[in-house]
Amino acid sequence: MVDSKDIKLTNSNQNNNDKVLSDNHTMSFDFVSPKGRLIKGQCKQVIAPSVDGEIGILYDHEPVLTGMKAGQVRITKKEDVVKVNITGGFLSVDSNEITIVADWAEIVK
Amino acid sequence: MPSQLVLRKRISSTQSLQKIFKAQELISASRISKARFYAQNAMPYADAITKAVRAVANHAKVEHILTNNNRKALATAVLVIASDRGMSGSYTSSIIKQANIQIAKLKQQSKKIQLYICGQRAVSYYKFRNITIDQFWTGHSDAPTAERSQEVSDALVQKFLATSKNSGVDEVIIVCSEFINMVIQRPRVIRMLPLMVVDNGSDPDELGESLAKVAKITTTASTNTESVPLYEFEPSAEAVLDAILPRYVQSRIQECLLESAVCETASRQRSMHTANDNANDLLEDLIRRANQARQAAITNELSEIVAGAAALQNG
Repeated sequence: MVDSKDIKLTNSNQNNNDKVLSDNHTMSFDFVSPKGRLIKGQCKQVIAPSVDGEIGILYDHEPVLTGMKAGQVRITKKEDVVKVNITGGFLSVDSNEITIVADWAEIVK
Repeated sequence: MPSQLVLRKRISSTQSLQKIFKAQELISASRISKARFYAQNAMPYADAITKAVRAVANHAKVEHILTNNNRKALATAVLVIASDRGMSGSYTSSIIKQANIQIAKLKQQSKKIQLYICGQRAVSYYKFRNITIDQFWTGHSDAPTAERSQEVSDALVQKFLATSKNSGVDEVIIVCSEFINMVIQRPRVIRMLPLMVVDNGSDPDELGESLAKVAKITTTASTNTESVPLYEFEPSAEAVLDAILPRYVQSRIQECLLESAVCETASRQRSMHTANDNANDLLEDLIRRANQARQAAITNELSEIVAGAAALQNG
């Protein structure tokens, strides 16, 4: 019984996730550093190292402005995930537009 | 009239100088596009930071030490941004002149001055006059890096946070150059710290506008009409300000460095062009005089021969 409930829960989570991560729900993002714009485009999900821990941003996230510490930003585009190492910076989300400002950034190949 | 030999020497030295001027002009012409490219690259970063600063200023009535205007200014840091090399006409001297005017003004208000300098030319100017320089940075004045602006802003912000009680400063002033167009660049003075955060949605200190001018990009003024959303600050508005304001200072200083670099190369290109033209005029004059001297010598020789022949005939 317990097992099936667990499975059901994961399933519903999975469905929810699928809906949020669907192609219709994309956010535009802009990744900038002092050297210039790193990448810009559409994405489904962004996970960033905020000062309090990691922050994950999906479609329809509330407007937020947070500092970032050194770590890795992971941006889920259509299929692929772009990983970018940063030394710090800040991130703002506003009506499905994400701006990531890093002091130094390098895309992980 | 100077001898032919002297004139020929002057002609050859003017010609070799002209080659140098020409090369310098071409080099600075290519550097301008590079400097513009850097300025263009810095635009998105500056824009993003300005937007964030505006958002915080609009939303939260938070006091931050970098925006605190109530402090009594007892000591002032003056950052002079000049060039590393000469051959750029009056570029450095006009900036130094402006800096000296500012320093004299501040001294009249009995403020202590701390001098921070970017660019070898200005460093040697103040060193020669035995004026104490607190810190200086040289190299790459015509292609400033992001790291350089980081170093400069770190030093200045640190001094500002220390306050004048602990051998720091209470305000920071930048003397740099303003790019109006390829022909006109003039020195300008900016009060960097404490920051003036304007909360009516207008651009604080027109950040990015001069960059746009340098990069020749017309930014559609959408940011001014946009309504600023109610942001959630994580973990707090103060912490977010702590993260954003030093970066804002850095991006402003980077903007000044980049704009000054464009001014420097533009000024160098212009003065080298003038020097080239002058060398041309000089060459024309010298060649004419050399020809005249040569002709005079020939005439002289001829008349001597004719006179000699006539004397022989008569005798």
